[in-house]
Amino acid sequence: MSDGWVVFGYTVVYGFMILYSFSLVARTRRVKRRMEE
Amino acid sequence: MKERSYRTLTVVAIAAIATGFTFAMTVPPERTQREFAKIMFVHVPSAWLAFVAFTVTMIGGAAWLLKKTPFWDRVAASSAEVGVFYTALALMTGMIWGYPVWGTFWDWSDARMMSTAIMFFVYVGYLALRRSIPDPETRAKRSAILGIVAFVQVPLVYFSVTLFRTLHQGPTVVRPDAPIDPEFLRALMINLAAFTIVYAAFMTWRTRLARLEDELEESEAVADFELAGSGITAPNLEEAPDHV
Repeated sequence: MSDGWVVFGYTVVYGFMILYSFSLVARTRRVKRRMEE
Repeated sequence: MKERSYRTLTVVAIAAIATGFTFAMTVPPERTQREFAKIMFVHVPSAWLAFVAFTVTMIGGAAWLLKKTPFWDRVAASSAEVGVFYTALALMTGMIWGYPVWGTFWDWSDARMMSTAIMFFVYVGYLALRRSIPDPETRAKRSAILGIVAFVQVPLVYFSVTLFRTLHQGPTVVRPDAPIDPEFLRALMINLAAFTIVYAAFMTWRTRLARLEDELEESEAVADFELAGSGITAPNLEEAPDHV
């Protein structure tokens, strides 16, 4: 029971860290592409 | 900064998080909260980094007002965004920890929870304000003022657990009467360091993005100006044909 909440907590933190990293990479690529156009 | 440096920073950040996770998972169960206490190793660093991020936003805003260089505006804006991210993490992990331990995800009368939520929405407002002002100088000036004024919440949120006796527990690390277990303290400090490295990585990527956005905005502004200029330029009558 307690393990489940801990796993959920860590998944939320690391999951959102990965998502935010991907969003930064995607936004940077989009701006670079617009600059090239 | 070269592309290779960004990649190195990414690898260092991943290694730091992996180290922090390893130390967090090897800590024995806490006496009363059992395994639930392990959420502390991601909850406390998230909250701590939110404070650090908003402090950097305040410093960046003040530095922009003094020096008027775009670099400081970019630092302030980037740190505010990363700070909102960490505040959201602190709120979410707090709720995930709170439900099994307190029996509730949220308590509307709790000083720490409510002040953190208000801080979150104020900095979301900061980001919204930046998006609503097209002129770079006006945007930098207004957001710098808001960044300095909003900083008052950081000490208010930090001391909310000592100023008000509500559900959230008091300070855990800085507590001479009941010091934290050395094994827990070590895991907490390692995770604090790991999260700080991740903050540094996020800030490096986000400020680079902000610089690129500024460059794009400038180039688009120049293109727009030329287009408007040609549209309103008076006709050259000297070159008009004779029969007109």
